[in-house]
Amino acid sequence: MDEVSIVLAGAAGQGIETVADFMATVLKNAGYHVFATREFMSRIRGGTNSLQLRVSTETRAAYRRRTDIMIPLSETAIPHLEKHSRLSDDTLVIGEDELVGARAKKNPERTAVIRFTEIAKEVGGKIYSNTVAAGAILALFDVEDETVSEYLTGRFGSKGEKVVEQNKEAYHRGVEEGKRIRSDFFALDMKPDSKITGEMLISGTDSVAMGAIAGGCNFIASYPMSPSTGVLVFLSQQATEFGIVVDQAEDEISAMNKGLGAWYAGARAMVTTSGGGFALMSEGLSLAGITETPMVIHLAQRPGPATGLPTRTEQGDLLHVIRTAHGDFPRIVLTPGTLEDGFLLTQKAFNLADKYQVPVFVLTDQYFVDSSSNTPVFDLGGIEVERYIVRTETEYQRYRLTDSGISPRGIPGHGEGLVCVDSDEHDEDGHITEDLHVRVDMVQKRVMKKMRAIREDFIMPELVGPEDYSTLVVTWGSNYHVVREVLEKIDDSGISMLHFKQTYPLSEAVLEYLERADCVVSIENNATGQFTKILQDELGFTISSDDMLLKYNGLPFAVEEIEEFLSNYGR
Amino acid sequence: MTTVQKTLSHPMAKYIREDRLPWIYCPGCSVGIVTNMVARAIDNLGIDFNKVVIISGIGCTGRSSGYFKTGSFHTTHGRAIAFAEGVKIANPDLEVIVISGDGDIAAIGGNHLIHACRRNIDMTVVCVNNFNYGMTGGQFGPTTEHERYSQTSPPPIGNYEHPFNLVKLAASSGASFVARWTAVQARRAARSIQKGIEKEGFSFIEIVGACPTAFGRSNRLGDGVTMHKHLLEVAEIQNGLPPHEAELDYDNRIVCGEFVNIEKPEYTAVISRMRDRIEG
Ligand SMILES: Cc1ncc(C[n+]2csc(CCOP(=O)(O)OP(=O)(O)O)c2C)c(N)n1
Ligand SMILES: [Mg+2]
Repeated sequence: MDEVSIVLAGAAGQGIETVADFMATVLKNAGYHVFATREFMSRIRGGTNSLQLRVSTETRAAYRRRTDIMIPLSETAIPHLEKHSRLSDDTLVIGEDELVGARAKKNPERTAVIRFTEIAKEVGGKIYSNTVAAGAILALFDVEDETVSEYLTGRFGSKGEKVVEQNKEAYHRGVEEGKRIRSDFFALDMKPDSKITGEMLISGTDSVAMGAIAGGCNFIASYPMSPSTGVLVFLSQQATEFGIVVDQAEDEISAMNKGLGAWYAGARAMVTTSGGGFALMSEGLSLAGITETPMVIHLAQRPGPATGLPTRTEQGDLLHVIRTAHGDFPRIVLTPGTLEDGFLLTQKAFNLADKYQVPVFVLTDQYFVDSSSNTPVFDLGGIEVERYIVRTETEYQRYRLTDSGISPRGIPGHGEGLVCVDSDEHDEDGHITEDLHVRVDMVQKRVMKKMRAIREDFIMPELVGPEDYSTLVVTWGSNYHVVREVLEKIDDSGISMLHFKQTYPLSEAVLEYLERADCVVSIENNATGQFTKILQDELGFTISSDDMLLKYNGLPFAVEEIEEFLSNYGR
Repeated sequence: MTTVQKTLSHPMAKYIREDRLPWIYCPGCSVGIVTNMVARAIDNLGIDFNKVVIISGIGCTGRSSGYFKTGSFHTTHGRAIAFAEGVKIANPDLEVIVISGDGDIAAIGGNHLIHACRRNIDMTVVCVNNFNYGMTGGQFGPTTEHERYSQTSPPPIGNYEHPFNLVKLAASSGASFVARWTAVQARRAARSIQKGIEKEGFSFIEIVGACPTAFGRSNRLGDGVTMHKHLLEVAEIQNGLPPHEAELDYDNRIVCGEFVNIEKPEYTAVISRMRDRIEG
């Protein structure tokens, strides 16, 4: 076995996150690949939530249905997983007697009773029961005591030595139980790799927020909205360290306009939001369009319409970000699939926004932002904060007509000139006009010419798999890893993936990849195949609805679903 | 669950959708208490359930509309009052009640609040002020006091901003009935809600509540019981005080009572009077 999938399920507030963080951090530090993904209800306490932790010797950064080990923490946990076909007779279920007793009778070979709470009470209190559980699981792997000690000291040090010691003891008591499981039920033979130890363990949220910092972001204006709030929280916690002004606005209309004001005044601003919040920003987006004010928008998608499923995932807002707002103007949509993408594309978004004076979207989703895994420390080598602000002369014209369509952007107070901007149609000086010839010049400048330049700067999609494919799987955003994993498994099938990291606008250069395939299929986490519409619109390339795998129940694709779908394709 | 059993034998159980229980609320949260206040107010008045529409926005408090056995509409975040205005104008015979949080009503929905007050449209708005955005994990909001901690105003600095005093805001915007109570003053609060419903005009009732999970935790205010005890200690009843003196200082003094109760033309009544005049 080179991987194991561990699922914890229980109510919000039972500490699932804490145990998972403990296990994932320690296992990563011990040299295993880890991936943690969560699905949870829209409520602060209660309900039934689950967290999957995949531990492996290769990158396995995708949700899968199969569960090897499950720890139920509430009565509803087992039925909850069963409902989504995530438990089988092979799943080893470990837990308190009252939660697993019934299963133990039916399936004694794959059920282990451990009295976490009782053990915890012996150690010093019920609160240690999660640490006992973590110990029982960690005992299945090669984890040094020191790695665990270090974690527990770092985590609980501020609560005093006694708490640290009791946690350590709880862990050891858990390990003893785990050894029993190891001999009775589960022999794992997974060799850790010391290279992983030095890697980072971060979430999609972290990758976007770190990318923003690397992109020179010094202002964030936002209104909290799941699942995008993490970026706002991350930056507010790093505000002092990195000199970032955090403005929590009274709503998204305000957030967007504050961001635009900040860019006008010389800052590098962003907003983070989700579909419903972005809907309120569309007026501001249009203002960015006519005034050619740069903007970076992180939109973490959740299923809509309206409030939809606030804590679930979907790729349902692609057309929303591409089509929303009145009038014609360019924009760029970036769609990260890996943590490295999250970092690099967000970083680049700031440069692109500044260069072309357009809104740039970083479009993620709940699955992407709320999942975490190990990833090599980001290489900052090629990274630069590109600034395009000019010092103005007395005769400065904000909207000077140029061949490239880009008018050098000045900011107030930097140079001799005045920077005049108008939401009405304007002339080169930035003053309101109803000269319809000027209107045509301005549209050609800010729409046609800039669009051409932006297309030339297109970020090519990543081809995963052999060059001589017969079937090409088109994906974008968070479906990167799940498809990649399946392709690695069904090696030599003649199937490759083309993963779009920029979904709008597209470049004709992409056609060469698409036309080379005998069959092009598309996998999207939405109900209507939104990206296929963009392919059609931008490149005139059609993917038949028979060749689309679409999912819209609020959960990400499971490895098994992709496997099944792709088994119909290839050689 | 035993809590469900208990709720069912509760005198207000007839107003509550049993199939939606157990409540989503955290232990020690005030929203359940406020739900009960509203049910009591409706009960005391003996209004027909079919004639009542309870409208809420998004948030923990916003989830309350779904528990009532009345007509209910869970709108989008911030839009409860605007939506409620549409309901009232389309059918003035309906009893329109809005229950929502401080963020929903005073941040994203703040504009709708002040304009509905100004128009004096007949509805009763019950705003649960727990000093933060509970549902999204405890960020500061429009009623969070200066320098308080929250997820987005972390230590050591805390909140840069200053809070609204919702009573003053509603009163100065033109509401015809304005009151404030804490969640522990359930009877008095229910009576004010009752008066609000009876009032022909815009009624605003702020209920100062506890969010032990988020606001309480960030500011080390103790569990729900401790927070509610504190509310009882600092609540100071001053019925009839001019609204601009209705201070709210969380640690020391929360002035409670009915501060505005005036007669002025109600919006939908004015519309129909005008129409009658023209049609003469
Ligand atoms: C347009 C939009 N922006 C943001 C959100 C996210 N959101 C949901 S509830 C909420 C705040 C709730 O706070 P409050 O109204 O005080 O209610 P509480 O949960 O504290 O009872 C926010 C920001 C949303 N649903 N829609
Ligand atoms: Mg609130």
